[in-house]
Amino acid sequence: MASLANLTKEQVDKEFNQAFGRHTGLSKGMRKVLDIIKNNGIISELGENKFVLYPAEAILFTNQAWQLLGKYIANHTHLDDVDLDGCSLTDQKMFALFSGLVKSSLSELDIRDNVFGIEGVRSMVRFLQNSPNLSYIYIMENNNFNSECFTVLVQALQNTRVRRLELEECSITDISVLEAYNDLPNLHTLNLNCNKIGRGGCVSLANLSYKKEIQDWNG
Amino acid sequence: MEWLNLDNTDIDDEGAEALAISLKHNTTVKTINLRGNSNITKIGHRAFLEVLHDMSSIENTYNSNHTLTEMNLVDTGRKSDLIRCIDSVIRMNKKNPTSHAAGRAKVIKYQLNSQDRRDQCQLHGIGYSSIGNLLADIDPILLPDILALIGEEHGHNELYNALVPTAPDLMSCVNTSHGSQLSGKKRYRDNELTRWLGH
Repeated sequence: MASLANLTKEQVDKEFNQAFGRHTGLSKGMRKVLDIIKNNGIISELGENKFVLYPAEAILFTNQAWQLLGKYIANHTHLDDVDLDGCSLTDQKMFALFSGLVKSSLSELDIRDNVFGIEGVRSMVRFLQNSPNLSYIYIMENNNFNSECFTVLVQALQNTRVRRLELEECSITDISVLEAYNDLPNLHTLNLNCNKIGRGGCVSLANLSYKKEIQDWNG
Repeated sequence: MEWLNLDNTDIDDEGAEALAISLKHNTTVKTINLRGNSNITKIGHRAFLEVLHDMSSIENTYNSNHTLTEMNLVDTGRKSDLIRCIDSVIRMNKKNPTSHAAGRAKVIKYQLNSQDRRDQCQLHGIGYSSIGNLLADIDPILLPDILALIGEEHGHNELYNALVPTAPDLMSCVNTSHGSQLSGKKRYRDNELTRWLGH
């Protein structure tokens, strides 16, 4: 799929119609919003700049649609918030989405209640490292998000501005990566509710605290 | 990191103790949630109480963790005395704007009042020692101001309780034949009191 800049308007429109045309079953309202995003417009009259995709519409998305959506979001210069809560994002759909979404202006990404696993997380890495405003990430209620996913996520978030990481009700049991990677300087909130991190998790958090203390002492 | 949500995370007493000890000198974590961890018993709860209020000496109470302003250890329902005490210390952290103010408030409430001190010893699982025993370890030169503070904050009965066992030490401070020595001691006393109990 060529980048938007290299396509003529006709080609862009054709691509849009293939992925989001009336034949797809998407609502008129959703097609209108997608068109606004494609054209770098303002979604809400209130100026929220938030894109919400509802599960009933998400189910109609083909891989091409996900990829195109990713590309539109990447090219949007002032979109703040994307909410893909409960959109049945599998590894395959994540791969399609993030093959287009390699950078963004987003400050908030909500991909809770989905089903992707490690391959899905790996496909996000480039996006995470090229979204300088990204502060809030919600990846809750996903049984396939395990310790390996957490490790890849934390590694990808090094030296980023992420402030809040919500990982409630996933399948994380090992958070020792936090001890090795202490470069989440802006992390304010870490939500690990309902993950069985147990005693080992406490030791990792304790070691992280000691490490921080030593850094503070050393100025 | 300021918020740490660890509800239902399979944490036991040893995990809680490891976490608690690491928070002893931590000045960033403000909120910690540990509800739904039914394997954390009185032992783990006590570890957190010790971090929030170290009972072993006045100095250690003063240097406890005053940063945590929200801590949820159990689900709603009937709370044990230990949990209620933790809630009370947390409220003290929240109420006092500076670490110094919180440390001072904890010393006054938990160390310099005989009933509170008795309750605290019980909750910490250590033998009760009276205020007299506590003050016996303190440089006599500091005693007059500490006693004045006890009288001011807790009334005459408490002052009397503290005064009886400390009277001999107190008398040793009254020695007008060593004016220069007293002057040096006064400076030391002022510095110590400013550090511990000053406004």
